[in-house]
Amino acid sequence: MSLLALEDVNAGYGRTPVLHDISMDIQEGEIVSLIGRNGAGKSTLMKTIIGLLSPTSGEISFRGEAVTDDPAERRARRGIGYVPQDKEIFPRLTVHENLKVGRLVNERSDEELFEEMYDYFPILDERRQQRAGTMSGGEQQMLAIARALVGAPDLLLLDEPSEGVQPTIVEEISDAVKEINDDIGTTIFFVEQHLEFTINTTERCYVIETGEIVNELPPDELRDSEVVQQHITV
Amino acid sequence: MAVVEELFRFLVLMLSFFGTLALAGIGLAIIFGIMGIINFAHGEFIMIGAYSTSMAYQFGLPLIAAIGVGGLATGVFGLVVERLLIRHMYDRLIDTLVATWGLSLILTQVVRIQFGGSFAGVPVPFGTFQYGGFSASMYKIVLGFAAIALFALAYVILMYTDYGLQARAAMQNKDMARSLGVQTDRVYMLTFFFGSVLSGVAGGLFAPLTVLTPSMGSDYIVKAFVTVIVGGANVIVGTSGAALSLGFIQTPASQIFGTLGGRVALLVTTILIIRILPEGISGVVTRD
Repeated sequence: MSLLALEDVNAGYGRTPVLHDISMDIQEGEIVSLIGRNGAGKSTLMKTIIGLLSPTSGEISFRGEAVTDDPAERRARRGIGYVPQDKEIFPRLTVHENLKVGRLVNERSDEELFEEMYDYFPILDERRQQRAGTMSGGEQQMLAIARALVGAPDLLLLDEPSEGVQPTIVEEISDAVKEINDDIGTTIFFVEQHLEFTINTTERCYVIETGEIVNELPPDELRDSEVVQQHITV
Repeated sequence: MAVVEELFRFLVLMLSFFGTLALAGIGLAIIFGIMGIINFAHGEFIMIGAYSTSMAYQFGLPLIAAIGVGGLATGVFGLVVERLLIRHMYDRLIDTLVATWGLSLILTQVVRIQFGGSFAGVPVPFGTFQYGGFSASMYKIVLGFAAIALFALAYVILMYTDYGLQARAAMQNKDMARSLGVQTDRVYMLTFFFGSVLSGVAGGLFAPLTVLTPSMGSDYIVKAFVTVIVGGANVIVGTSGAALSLGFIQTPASQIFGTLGGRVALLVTTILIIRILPEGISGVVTRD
């Protein structure tokens, strides 16, 4: 059964339309990515899926139920986790408090999962009582991912997880993403400019261009520089 | 001996100024700090707290219970205001300003029509105490400690409860908090209730020290604004620090230049602090 399905979704900011008739489908257990140029609407699509933006038309369903009219907080409680671009950790809360916010609201979460997050990202364990705003970009990214996962989501949305993160840490994050998908079976949908990251983790890749899904590729084709030239390079 | 006496007089006066500023400001600070909403009817919330405390007291309740009733009544009133008015204007600072200002005018008039120009007061409890040639109302000292206790309570609620964590998260990044499942709508409703209760309790605590009139709120809203502006965005540390430093300045000023001089000193200090520290005291204590 498809976990997330979008049907002819249109969305934008105020009166400015950004997404045009987006239809897509993500199966349970998949890792799917989305590539496209800057300004193509990648982050807008993520915000529309989590519910921070309401579509002007079209249908979004999650686990077969329509969620189009649900606000973000209800979609989160239904099992969608969201890691935004720029991480958006709560800077003046401690690492532990950040994770607690992720857990608080979700009945499916428990103490065990909470501790498991510290196993996936040991650095966070060392920093439990540190204010999150004082950590490096990579550490904040790990915190943002852990904070979403601690709510036990069925679907994890990652918006450019490698942005502003040192190359050595990018690999660590991409390993963790794969591991999480293997271990817990979390379905993952992510936006990424970093090609190596996409090729290494993904099973299927949507291509977005000026607000429309124009193609669907197996990730291997991303090794082909012509394809890359055509879809991503500015 | 005279030096000790003067010092004592200074401390008592300062404690009472601190208490008045801190209590006047706490409800406004919580609502502004967490929701980003300026409640211009804040003074009238204090008035409602004072009136309902007096009513409960005339009814025969002991003062402390009457103050509790005053806080609760104001809290319930705040809840109604939030549901009917405020929640339609989240993220619209100017609109809430105008709407709550209108509310403040309406409340003052309704109370005037209903209860007339003044209302039965509450006698000052605890009597006075004597120290050498200096005597003061015991209650003014109690007021200072009551302010400390309320701040401690607010601190514990914000730092150690689930509500507090969600409120702090929503305050730092509302959209992200929502994306994690925090029902910010509910958090804001509770925050407005919480702030209203604190304003009502403050009004109840002020009731024995002041004449209860429909327009008594205008006196407190000035004190509240001065405190919150100097305090800045940090609800607990900023506001209590502001009340403490303003009280420290108001005390000698009012001793030397009288009550009016004390108030002028408050305003001048506020203007100077905003020039030097645009983010108020919070800017000094909060680092990201």
